[in-house]
Amino acid sequence: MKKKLLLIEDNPLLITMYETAFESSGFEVVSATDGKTGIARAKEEKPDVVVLDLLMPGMDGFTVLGELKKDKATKKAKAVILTAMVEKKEEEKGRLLGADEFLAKSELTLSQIVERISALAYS
Amino acid sequence: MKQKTAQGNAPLKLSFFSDFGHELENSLAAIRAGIELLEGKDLGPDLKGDLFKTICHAEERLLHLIRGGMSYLQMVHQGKLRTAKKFSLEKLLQEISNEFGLVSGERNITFSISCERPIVLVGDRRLVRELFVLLLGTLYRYTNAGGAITIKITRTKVSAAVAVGVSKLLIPSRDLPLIFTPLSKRNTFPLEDGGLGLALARAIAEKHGGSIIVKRGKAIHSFIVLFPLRGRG
Repeated sequence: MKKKLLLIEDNPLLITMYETAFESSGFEVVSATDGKTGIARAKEEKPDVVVLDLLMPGMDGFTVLGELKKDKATKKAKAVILTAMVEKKEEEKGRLLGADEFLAKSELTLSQIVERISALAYS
Repeated sequence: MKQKTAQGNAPLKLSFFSDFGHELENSLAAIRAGIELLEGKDLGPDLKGDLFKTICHAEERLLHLIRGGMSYLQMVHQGKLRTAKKFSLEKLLQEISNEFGLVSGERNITFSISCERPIVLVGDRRLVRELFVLLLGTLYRYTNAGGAITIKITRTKVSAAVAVGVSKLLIPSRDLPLIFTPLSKRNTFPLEDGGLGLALARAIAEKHGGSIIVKRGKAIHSFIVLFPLRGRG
């Protein structure tokens, strides 16, 4: 059965790339370009995995993650923070808020990102 | 009307470098991901074409960021103005207004300019031109069809003011004080260039000893660019 992945990312160019990669790896992908819409989509779509960026307009990724983990309807979704630059304290904060993975866009290839998220989704 | 200064004279914060690095990394990540997809997967010609276009957009975005970011940093870090000559503010704005007037009809946006009396500024004409092209260009891009942009030039004994009034602006009122912050993510309405253009406009005004003030109104918002007048102006 296909796993559903919600991608919350404000860069439309990256959304195109990630959507293509995850869809061709067997995921059903839905996306949102800001945190508020992302939370609403998570409630509607009940994804298995939420992949979110940290720096986004309006609401940052930590706030989105906190909201998702507080809500009964969304707290079971596995959460992956996929961000441009990783700092130790940000990773710690993300893990404390309930992130299952913390990945750096700059350190991993696209196939490594898909591999890590697939392993988490099907674990 | 609520009034807010566009954070004049704020020191360059580390957050700019962090946000700038983040934006650069995102564009690079999109290019790398696109190339990897094109090389590795058996994709149809349509999808390959779309991915290729997306890679090109990411490259354009990267170049735009580098140029904008460097210009902004140069403006903030550079000491005094290299060129400071007298020029007519009215003539400069008339010239820019005519250029915008040529294209504004396409989207049914009216441009008008009024000047109480001639004003001579001392500064770098090229930079002041860039300031107004960036400001008016952004406002034009985000004004709905049927909107109006008015430019009113006034002066007091000590300063010259260029008030740019805009109706039917698409940028929400709450975001207006944030749009001069480079690469701000606090705004809810993302600008295409992430606000680097307007941050540069503000830096140019400050380099001339001036500032940009935002006045939010119900139907018309105003962006007031102030310049100090030296001598008799």
